[in-house]
Amino acid sequence: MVALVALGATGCYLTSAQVLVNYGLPNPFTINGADGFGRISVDLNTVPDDKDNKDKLKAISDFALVGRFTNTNGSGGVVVVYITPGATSLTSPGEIVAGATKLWGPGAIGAAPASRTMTWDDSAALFTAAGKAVLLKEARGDGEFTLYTSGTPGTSNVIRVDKGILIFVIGAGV
Amino acid sequence: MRKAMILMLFALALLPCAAGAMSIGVGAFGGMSIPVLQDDNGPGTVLGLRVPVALIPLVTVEPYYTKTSGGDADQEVAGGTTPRSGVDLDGFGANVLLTFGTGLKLYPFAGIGSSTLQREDMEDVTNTTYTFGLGLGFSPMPKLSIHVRGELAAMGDGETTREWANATVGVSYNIFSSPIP
Repeated sequence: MVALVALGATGCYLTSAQVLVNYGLPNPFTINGADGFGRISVDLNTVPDDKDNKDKLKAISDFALVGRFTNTNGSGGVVVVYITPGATSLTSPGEIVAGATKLWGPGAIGAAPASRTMTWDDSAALFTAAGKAVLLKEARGDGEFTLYTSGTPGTSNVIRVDKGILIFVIGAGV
Repeated sequence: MRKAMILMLFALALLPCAAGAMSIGVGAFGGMSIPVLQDDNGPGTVLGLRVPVALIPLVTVEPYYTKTSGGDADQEVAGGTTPRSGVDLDGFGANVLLTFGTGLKLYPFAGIGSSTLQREDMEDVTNTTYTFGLGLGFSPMPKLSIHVRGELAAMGDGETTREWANATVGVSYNIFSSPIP
């Protein structure tokens, strides 16, 4: 009976759900070593599941970037994803590292023509706590943020990402 | 506060040892565990051990250990199937059972415990778990009883909770009993 009293006192118990939300990235998108980064504007208001649960959103339980990564030209390297709130236009890898928050990575890929399918399990481990905090704030806010994909500094390669999808599982009150 | 409640339930379980216990048993159980409203977790199995300690004719306190293995969640994303490894749960705690009936016993129960949520490539999370449910027990032979239970378990996971519906079958063996004081 003590448990039942505690259960009631917590308020949120038995009223939460883990809801999957996915956001399709441009297909394909590339990270070109010539300029060292790519930029993707995200508007979660276009995702019905997110929009429907925005007012109930309490946490992000899981996050992943899945897709098929192919090094189409050049030596091996890594991919890192950064995030900024709102729509931003950072113009260099230096500005991104200084002005954005690391969200995910590094995901490694071998020299061309190496290819790697990033699974949910593989990808979830590369999610950073700081990036998660920014993402949660944006998901709770206007739902607009900018992702920057960055390659390996000083490495000239072209990495193409096919069927890139952002997956996040939101903890929502029901 | 939750640690105090868990300790209190354990203390209640030990109380009859000093006061003249009616009975103490050991048991094992297993069954199905179904995540409730969890898109990233699949149905799995639950196994565990419990030590029912009957305090007074109606009340049994039951320390337990339980291990839940979540199945993979296969999600349809952008026309393809993306699997995610399931969430496992290791925990211990204690239930309080209110037992009604003589031959066939019906008992609502509730409990509190501590569980650790584990998943591949994610940090473990340890938090309080609350359980409540309904059980049915009968004794096909002296000292042995069979139990069928349905329960809902809820565990804190950051600012939200995760819930599981468990259906189990268990066997308990009465290892010690003494007359009612």
